[in-house]
Amino acid sequence: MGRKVAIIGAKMTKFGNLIDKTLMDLLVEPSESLIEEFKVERSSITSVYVSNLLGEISSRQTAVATALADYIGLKNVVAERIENGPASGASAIRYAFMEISSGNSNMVLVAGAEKMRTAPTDVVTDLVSMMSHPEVEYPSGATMPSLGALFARLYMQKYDVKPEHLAMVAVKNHSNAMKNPFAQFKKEVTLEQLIGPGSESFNPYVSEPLRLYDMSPITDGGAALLLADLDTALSYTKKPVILEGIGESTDALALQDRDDPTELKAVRLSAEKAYRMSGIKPEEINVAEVHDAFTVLEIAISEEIGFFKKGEGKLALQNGVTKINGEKPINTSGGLKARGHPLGATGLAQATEITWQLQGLADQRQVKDASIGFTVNMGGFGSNAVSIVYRRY
Amino acid sequence: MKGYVCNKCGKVYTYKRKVCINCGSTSFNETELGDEAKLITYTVLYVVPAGIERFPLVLGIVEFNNGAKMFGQIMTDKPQVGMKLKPQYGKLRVKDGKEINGYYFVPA
Repeated sequence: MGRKVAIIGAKMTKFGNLIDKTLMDLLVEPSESLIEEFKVERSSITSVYVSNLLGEISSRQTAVATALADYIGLKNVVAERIENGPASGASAIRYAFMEISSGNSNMVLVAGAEKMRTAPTDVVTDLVSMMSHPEVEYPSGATMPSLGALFARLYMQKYDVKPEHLAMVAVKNHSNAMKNPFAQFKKEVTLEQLIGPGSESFNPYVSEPLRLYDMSPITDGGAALLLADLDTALSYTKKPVILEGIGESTDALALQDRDDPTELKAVRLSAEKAYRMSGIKPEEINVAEVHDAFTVLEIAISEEIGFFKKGEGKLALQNGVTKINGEKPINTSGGLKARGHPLGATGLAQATEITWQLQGLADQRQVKDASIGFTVNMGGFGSNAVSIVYRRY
Repeated sequence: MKGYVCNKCGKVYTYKRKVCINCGSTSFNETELGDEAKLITYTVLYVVPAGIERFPLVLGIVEFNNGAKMFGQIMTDKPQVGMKLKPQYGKLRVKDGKEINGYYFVPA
């Protein structure tokens, strides 16, 4: 094992429809905010990793990491863009982790951003679906929601999960987002509105059995983390958050090629690797952000990461275990569902929420005495996942 | 419809691959998948991507008699898990102004 790696601090922009902000604004703002708050000498940062998927299409821009280094006056640094589908953010953290752990750098800036709201919905839907299998999924019109829906029907059937369970995820995450000033949605929703009589107009089907409120939204946003070896981190903050373990795993790219399409094997294996590296067990985790791109995923992921037995995720949800004041709070930020899902920024927004929780900065959504956190960021529809275990110093 | 079976582990694919994702073997034999498949999951999609002309678009995963699974468009207004389908070849979508053809499924 190499050196201990810690997060000094985390920042994000408000998520939502940020029509006046450019991709560079969304990268520069949280990065500058970190440099200012922690009074970092720019020459101490020797690498910058940027997670972003759609820069060339959304903003006619590639090589965005080099652009960020230039904009914020980082001279002669390593600057690279990381693309791993919607798991790009967590992947970028992983690169920074390895670089610091191995002693190649002492301080690394990781930033992620996405501009998704400029193109029409059918065009964004097509762009996002480019991560599906190019021969057996994309040609037929696969979209991420459609793959999510095929999974949902099988998973719901196998574990007797009802539409009200999916709606409970949305109700909880919208309620959490009410307490998060950075979240896209500021709107409480009720089970009655989502699945009650006449709910079809408020909550129409997007991809049966999934409805509008089962989907994460289309979001603009950016987030950034400053990482360093633990000794360096301690010279900037008394409250560093240690990255105890990181694991990543792929699965078959196409849903049809997985032995059991109700399993999220990449999620499970990435979590197992992160637990093994950290020596921390799922029972010890106090707060988690998981990849609820679709409501059903929050339930299924909560089982794959070992929080609950297969088929019991819905019970934990139903019994309030995953609420902010429950035993196992999940998606205190509002999750992808209600905080928003700007692809390249999502993994960093998850890490930001956990950092704030472990630094005691989560205001109204603070989980009491949170000392160990967890995130899982999924790439593609279950074809890749990156899990991270965090511990308060 | 033609499929491909891995000579080492026996996994069946509905499309040609260079390497078996299950066992890493590079040796495959052509196999007949038959013309009968069963729908195992489906969705009716109301937000379709650019390049798709059908609305709403029914997508599903079917299973052939030998266990091979395949994702595709399902040409019916009343999809039902368990329904019998057969593959047909034709236009799927348009990409960069070009027609893309492939297999989709119709009720048997």
